[in-house]
Amino acid sequence: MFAPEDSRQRRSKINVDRIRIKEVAANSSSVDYPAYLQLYEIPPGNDITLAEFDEIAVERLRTLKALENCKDGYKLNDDDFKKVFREQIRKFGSKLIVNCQEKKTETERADAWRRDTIGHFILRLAFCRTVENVKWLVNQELDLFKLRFMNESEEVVLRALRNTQFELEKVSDSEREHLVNKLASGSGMSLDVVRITSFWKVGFTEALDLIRKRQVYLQEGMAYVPYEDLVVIICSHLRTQMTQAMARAYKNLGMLEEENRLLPRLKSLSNNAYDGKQYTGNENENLVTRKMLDKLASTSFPLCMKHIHTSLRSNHHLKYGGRRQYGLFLKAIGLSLDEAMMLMREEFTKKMPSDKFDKEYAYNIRYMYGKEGRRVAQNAFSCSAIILRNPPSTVDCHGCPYRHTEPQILAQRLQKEGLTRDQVEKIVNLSSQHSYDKACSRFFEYTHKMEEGALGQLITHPNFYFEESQKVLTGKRATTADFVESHVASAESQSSLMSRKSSCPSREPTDIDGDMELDD
Amino acid sequence: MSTAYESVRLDHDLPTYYKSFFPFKSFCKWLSYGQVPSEYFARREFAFILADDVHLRYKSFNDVLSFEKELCKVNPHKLDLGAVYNHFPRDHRKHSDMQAVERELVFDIDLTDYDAVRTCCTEATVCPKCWKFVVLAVKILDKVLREDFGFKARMWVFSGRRGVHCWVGDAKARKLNNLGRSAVAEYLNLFIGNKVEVLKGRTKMTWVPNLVQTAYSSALEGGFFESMAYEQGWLNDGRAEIIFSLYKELSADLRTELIEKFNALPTPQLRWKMLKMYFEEDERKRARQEGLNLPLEPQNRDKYFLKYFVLWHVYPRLDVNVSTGTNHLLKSPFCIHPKTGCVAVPLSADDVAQFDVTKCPRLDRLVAELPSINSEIGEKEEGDQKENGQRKVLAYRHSSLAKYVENFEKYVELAIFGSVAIVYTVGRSINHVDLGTVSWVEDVLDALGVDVPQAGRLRPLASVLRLSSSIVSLDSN
Repeated sequence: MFAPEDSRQRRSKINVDRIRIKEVAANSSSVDYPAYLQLYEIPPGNDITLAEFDEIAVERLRTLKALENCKDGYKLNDDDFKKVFREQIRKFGSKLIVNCQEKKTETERADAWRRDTIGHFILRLAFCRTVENVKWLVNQELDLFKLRFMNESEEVVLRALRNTQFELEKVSDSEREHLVNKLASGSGMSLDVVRITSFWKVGFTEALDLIRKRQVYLQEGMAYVPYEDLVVIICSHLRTQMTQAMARAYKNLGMLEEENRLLPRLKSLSNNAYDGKQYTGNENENLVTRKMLDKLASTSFPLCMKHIHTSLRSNHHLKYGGRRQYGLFLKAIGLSLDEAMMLMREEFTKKMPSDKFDKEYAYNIRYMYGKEGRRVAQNAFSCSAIILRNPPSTVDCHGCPYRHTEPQILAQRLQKEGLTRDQVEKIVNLSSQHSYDKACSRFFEYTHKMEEGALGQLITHPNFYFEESQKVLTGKRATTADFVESHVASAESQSSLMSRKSSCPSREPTDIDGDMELDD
Repeated sequence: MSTAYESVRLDHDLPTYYKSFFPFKSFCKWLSYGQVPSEYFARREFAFILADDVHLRYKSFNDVLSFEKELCKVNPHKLDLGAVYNHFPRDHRKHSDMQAVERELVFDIDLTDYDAVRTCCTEATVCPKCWKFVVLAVKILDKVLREDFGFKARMWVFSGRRGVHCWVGDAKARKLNNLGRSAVAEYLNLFIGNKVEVLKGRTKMTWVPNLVQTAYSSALEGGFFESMAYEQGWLNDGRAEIIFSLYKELSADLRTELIEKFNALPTPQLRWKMLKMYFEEDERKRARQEGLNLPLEPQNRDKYFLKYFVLWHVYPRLDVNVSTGTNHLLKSPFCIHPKTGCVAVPLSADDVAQFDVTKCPRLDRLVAELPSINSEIGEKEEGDQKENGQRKVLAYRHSSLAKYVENFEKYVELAIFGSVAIVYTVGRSINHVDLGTVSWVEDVLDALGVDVPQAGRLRPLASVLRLSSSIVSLDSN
């Protein structure tokens, strides 16, 4: 099991699997694609044109992104949520079915299921390469699944689950009656409710989330799960499956001889996991000088960058992590190499001789601008990179304040920024629930005197924060932007980019004030 | 009888202990889980801890012999067991993907965590009175592990000084990942900080989880909690303020009322009775029948005061970190505690109540037993006309350690049986079935639609296949 397979073996295994999957697909008579609410156990095996490949992948990606954005403003499965979400995906013409009650013809339906399966598996491939991407995709896919699950009647759900390999055993009426008291105190229901609820037996390892909360009746290693909690079980099952499958896919991706055809496509898809734009600073060069930084920091920097900036000003030094995170950010907002060098020199030499600075730090700054070493200008860190890579130690000042700072200290810092106690509490709460992006978006809205949710999008890149802030301050963006409209705007900009992407993948410099765009 | 142990003798006595008393055979049978030769054993991490807390980690051994040789050569002060890894632990530097894959599910209860409620002793000292905390903790946990999780192989090991460890050896438990372990540990751990979580749900819709109910009735069973409360003086004069401010949800009115009543009563016994009259339904019923004057029934969250009171004092205080990490090291059974000289002896859950910490087998006493054991065996062997003079003396069989080794062997059987494939032949086909315990065999046969054979036909082929009791063969013809 642990023996290393050589690549030839693995490649031949992939081929065998491919043939087998095709056979399965060919043999299954009427239902080529598993219908609604499947657990994505069997990958699709038919041939598909590249154009369709692109179309289906982009459709699903945008559906998931719409879902993510809506979740920021509303609670999953609220009436408002459903309305806004449906509105959004209708706008870009998604053919995916989100709710079974939608009126569609048989053929439309069959097509939708087919797209559902294919889209899911393409995205798995596209997002399997980095931990942050895997996590993002799994979370969104699970939410989509959850949404569908919660909108279905019990009967439909169970019929769908019967087609999967997930084993569930229904608790018989007599057994339920026998255990009625225990089931009630196990799940926190009244006796009457227990009597009209269906219960399902699963091995306790499948129900860990419920066990952790002591919210399910356990007997002899079996968890007795009421129907309303079933979604938790199935989601955690799907999560495990997806994560494992994507880890395997990542291993095998290199073996596919698809360098020219599929791999670039997949790569461009997963670039869109956050807001999509890679910030290099090429487009805004020389927009900002070091003299402007103090002012900009107080108005338009996200909390993480503000913190590093203050720390630079007061300690006259930055450690490696801080230099990289802050330096690349500054480069991307348009601070030129010369300015950056002077900024750092002015500060650092207050504590060290200038030749020490030249020897130990100058190279590093030039490197970031692509003037040394491998001579590639680097992109500014996105939020997920900041959160997932290289956590700060106690002496560092980089990292994400919502992720890496103790709640009390975070609260103090927020208060210093002039937030009210209510606002501080809200943000600290979000950060303790691991919703760092939401916490940052709220911070943006509070400091820009906007309504909650008016930003309409989550902050997923410090430079996006900066750009949006500049737009607000220069009056190019309304502070009371209607939620739906702002989404449509971003969806449209994405659609233009997607179409451009498939035709010409060349990089075009973009204007700082322009709509969100994505570079390949 | 109980003179303190002189730890200076440790280095002198340890070689004798490892050579003559350490039960290598059962020990290695356990860690092999029915495989011979066992890769499972070879991928297990052992840690030797020498004088001055020098840790030799990531040791691993191919077989029993090399383990025995090394242990007797190094004579470590302590022996810890780690996880089973995906590679041989001794090669841990060679592999970048080295990770713990399996390990028994373990729990650690330490009496120092009870210092808030323990009035008889503090810190490292332990007397029979405080041992009762351990007794109750084991009783509750053992019941829950058995009934809720269905774990069959559970061993409780005295840690040598002031606590016990639990080793759950079922295959299902060993295969749990960190997430699973932490879920089980969180399920079992009712303490959040210094508070006990007896209630679930929001203000109006509260309910008491089954676990709380089970723990509460186990504690009260046979008046166990009551006698502890008297011994530890929890209901003594002047305790009213402390007791009734424990439970933060208690309404102010009832608190005042209870404090008043408590102080008016002369003895702890009467106070306990008073509490039961307030909060115990059965007690109220009985009193009603006898026509006694009853206090008003407590409302809402007040109802749960007594549960909180009892569980806050005696519910197991687990060291959750020990349980959650697959790769966490834990002191091995039969290891000597370097400070007390006590052997970490395996106990069954029922033994724990009878166990006397002061009479635990101790290194110096065991070594002192050796001459008489040797002469006894010698005599016997002479009587039997000894077959070969080279036979190793298994002194533990005749020493005061013997009954603990038996406990251990029982556990090993259970743990192994939980993990073996039952090879079952029907005509030409062979079905491998992973089974929990022996008693499940019949269920499986039933499920396979085969008539359950008479007891005599279900026989272990251990002697034939030399695979211990790990394979049971069923001949349907």
